[in-house]
Parts: sequence; C-alpha cells; structure tokens
Amino acid sequence: MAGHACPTVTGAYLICQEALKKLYQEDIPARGEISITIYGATDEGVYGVIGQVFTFLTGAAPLSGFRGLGHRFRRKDLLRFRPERTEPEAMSFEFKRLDNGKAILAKFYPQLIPFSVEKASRLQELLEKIIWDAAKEGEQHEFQNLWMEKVKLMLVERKGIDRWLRIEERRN
Amino acid sequence: MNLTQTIDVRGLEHQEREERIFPSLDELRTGASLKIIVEFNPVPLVFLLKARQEFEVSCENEGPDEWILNIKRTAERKGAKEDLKELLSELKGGEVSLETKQKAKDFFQSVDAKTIGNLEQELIREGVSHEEVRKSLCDIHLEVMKDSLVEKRIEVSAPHPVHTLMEEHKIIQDNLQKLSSLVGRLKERNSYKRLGEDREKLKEIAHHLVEAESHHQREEDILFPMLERRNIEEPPKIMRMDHEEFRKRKKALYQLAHNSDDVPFAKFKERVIELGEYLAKELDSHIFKEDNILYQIALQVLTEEEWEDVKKQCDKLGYCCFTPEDVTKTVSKRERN
Repeated sequence: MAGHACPTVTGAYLICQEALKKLYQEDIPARGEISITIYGATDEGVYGVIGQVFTFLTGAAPLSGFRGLGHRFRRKDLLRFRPERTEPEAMSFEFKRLDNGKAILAKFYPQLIPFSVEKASRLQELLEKIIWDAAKEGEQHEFQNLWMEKVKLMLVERKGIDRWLRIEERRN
Repeated sequence: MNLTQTIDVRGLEHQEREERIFPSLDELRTGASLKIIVEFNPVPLVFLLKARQEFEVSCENEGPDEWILNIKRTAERKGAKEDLKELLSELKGGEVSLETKQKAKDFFQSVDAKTIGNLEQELIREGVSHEEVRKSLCDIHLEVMKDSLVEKRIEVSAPHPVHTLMEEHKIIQDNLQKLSSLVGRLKERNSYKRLGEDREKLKEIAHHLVEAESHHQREEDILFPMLERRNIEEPPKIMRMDHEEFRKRKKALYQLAHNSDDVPFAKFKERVIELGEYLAKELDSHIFKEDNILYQIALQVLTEEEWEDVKKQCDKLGYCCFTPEDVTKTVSKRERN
C-alpha cells in the first residue's frame, strides 16, 4: 500500500486475501464483481481505512466510486457500511460474488493476534514519544522494529491466524 | 399613547425565539411596551432583562400553558458593543484601575455568556484582533466575573458530553497543581541529583498533559464545529488559538522531561519553570473560560438532538486515559425510561 505497513492495513489485506481464496477457490477473482459489506460505521475506529484497502484490492467502492459506462464497469456502492455487529468481539465483513451470489463472512479478532502484552505496552509508550518528537534515536529504531515485528507476525508468519481470522460460508 | 407589540414565540426553536425577541427589544423606544408569549417559564430571559436595568418586567400570566411577559422600556438603550469597545481600550492600557475593573464587572453582570460571545464576535469582525480579545478582555473578564459566572452556570450530569469535558478539566487542573508544586520545588534546586524523584514526576505530569489531546480533539472536531454551524465562530476560534499555544508548550515540556540527560541543568531548570508557570496559569484560565463561557453558550444554543449527536461522535473518537469511566457511559433508552 504505497510503502505503508501497519497492523490495520496488514489485517485488511489478509482479510481480503483469505476471503477471496474461499470465494473463488481455483478461479481468478474478478475485479468489480464483488460486493462487500463492512459491519461498522465509516467513521468508527479503523473501518474506513480497511474499506479503502478493500476498494484498492477488489474495485468495490463506496458511493464515491465510478458509476460505470452504461451498465458495465460500475464500482459505485459495491462497498457498504452497516453499523451493526454480527458478534461483539469480532470485526466482520461480508464478501459476495455478483456472478453466482456466493458469499462468505470474514471475522477478524485483532485482540487475539499473539503479540505480547509487554511489547504492545512498550509500543504504546514509544508511540507517544514519537508523536511528540521526544524519542531518542535508539527509541525510534526500537519503535520501528516492534512495529514491523507485529506486521511480520501477521503477514509473513501468519502466527495463529486461524484464531484471529475466520472465514465462514454465508448461506442465503 | 403607547402601542404594545405582541411577540408570540410559542413552538419556535431557541434561535428563532431569540431572533424575534432581541431585535424587538433593541428597537423599543423609551416608554413603549412589548408583550412576549412563551410556553415555558422564561426565568433566564427575565433575569437578563432585569440585569440590563433598562426595562420594567412583569408577568401577566404564569403558566401552566403560557407565560405572558409585559416589558416596558424605562431607560435609554445602552450601547453594549460601544461599552465593550471602550472597556477594551481601557484594558489595553496596561495597569487596570479599580474603576475600570468595577466598570468591567458591571458590564459583564448585565449580559449573559452568549451575548458576550456575540459581542466578541462582532468586535473581531470589525477588526479587533483575536489576540487583543483573548489577552485583554478574556483575562479581565475572568478576573472580575469568576464568582458571578459560576453562580449562573447551567449544570449537567453524566453522561452529558459537557459533564465529561468538565470532569476531565478537573483532572487536568489537578495535574496543573502538581506541575505548579514541582516548579516551586525546582526553583530551590541546583542540580539533577537534588531534583530526585521529581524528574520522574515531571515525566508523569507531561504524559498526562499530552494525553489531554483527546479532550482538545473532541472539542475541536466535534463541539466547536457544532457551534460554528450555529454561527458562533469567534469564541471557538479563540479557544483553538489557545490550544495551539498549549500544544507547543506541552510538547516542549514533554521533550524536556524525557530528554533531560542531553540538557544542562541550568537550561533545563529555566525552561521547565517558564513552561510550567505558563501552563499552570494560562491553561487553568482557559479551563475556566471553557467551563463558564464556552460550554455555557453551547448549553444554551444546542438542542437535545445535537447533544446526542455530540455524545455519539465523542464515543467514537474516544477519551483520555484519565477520563473517569462512569462519566462516559452511554445511558440506553431503556435505562432512561
């Protein structure tokens, strides 16, 4: 994502990747033929950011998206926000194929990502110093390393991914 | 023969009521009367009119469905804006005389918080700088009006957003008190070694000061835009300017607290005292202004629906690490009924 790597963007990428794998199996996903429902409000937490990643990857866009040429290539309103929870502990997202109606529900549990409490606490402490330009050089490097450690754990190692990212088929 | 105009404001929104009533009062000639009909007990309006000492106010009917006020102008309309301008130029002059302070006190007692906000706004539009309003008027306003403003306050309870903001203010003020005490001790020290545990205490104080950013963000991103949509623009602008000044100094204090190893003690001491004294005084004064003027204006003009929207937005934006949990709890409709 233009050089940006953070747990939120990483999570969004993985959600999208796993959702499309389940939806399309051996077929190639078709851009613009997927609708997505995000079970959260646009301006709530990081749902908006996740939505932007989904748009980038699938073409499904909110109201501001491309209205299409005639009846083709429409992207607008393929991504919607529904501010309701399917489950209190999970961030949920429905991905649906427009060609055959097949749908899956992706549930993301960021609190279950196995990043130690001590490291998370240290990250928070360093983040404050970074924001207020008070981190020494060593602390800046420490922050960068901890930050990327979490991203690597999610994206590359996929440590315990079955616990914090679950994909279920949705029956109509 | 005096003609009596009747203004019936029953069923109107707050702003519409004011737009009907106040211009008519301003236009009222000496000796003339005005009748106002409302569907609730107009205690604040009666209080305001009596305080202006230009009107004779009596109540022809006192509920339960309607109140009818008879208002007769008994004295020439005072030019509130002209009075304020004159006061401002006297306050600019440096030392403020007892006479000016009394004049300021009399002036501020005759107008409510919203009117003050409106007058400040008008002055700024006419070219008086924000800085001048902030420094001269606000500070003296506070000094002479402290008791009277607190007395007139509309009180709200949890989980109203204003209540949350004010509870956070109390904690911030507590922190400022600690900062003040620390600065006092620092003045007596001549080395880091002598500073002892105050070095760590300063980090903790600085942390809480920067944590208050969530509080300022809720004001700047949620409450102030609500007021600006109601054409109350200048008081929020002044508060935003204050926030910027505080941000710069909080950042400097935070950096000093966490990087004192790199700073000679004499320099550290000088800078911490300067920053600490500024924040302790100015932030405390700012808090008083918000509690007793800005929030009061907001409570007067925003509707219940708007406050519900403010609360929802505040919940989404989040609170400070020190915000008491019980004040932010949303009361469900079921619990309310």
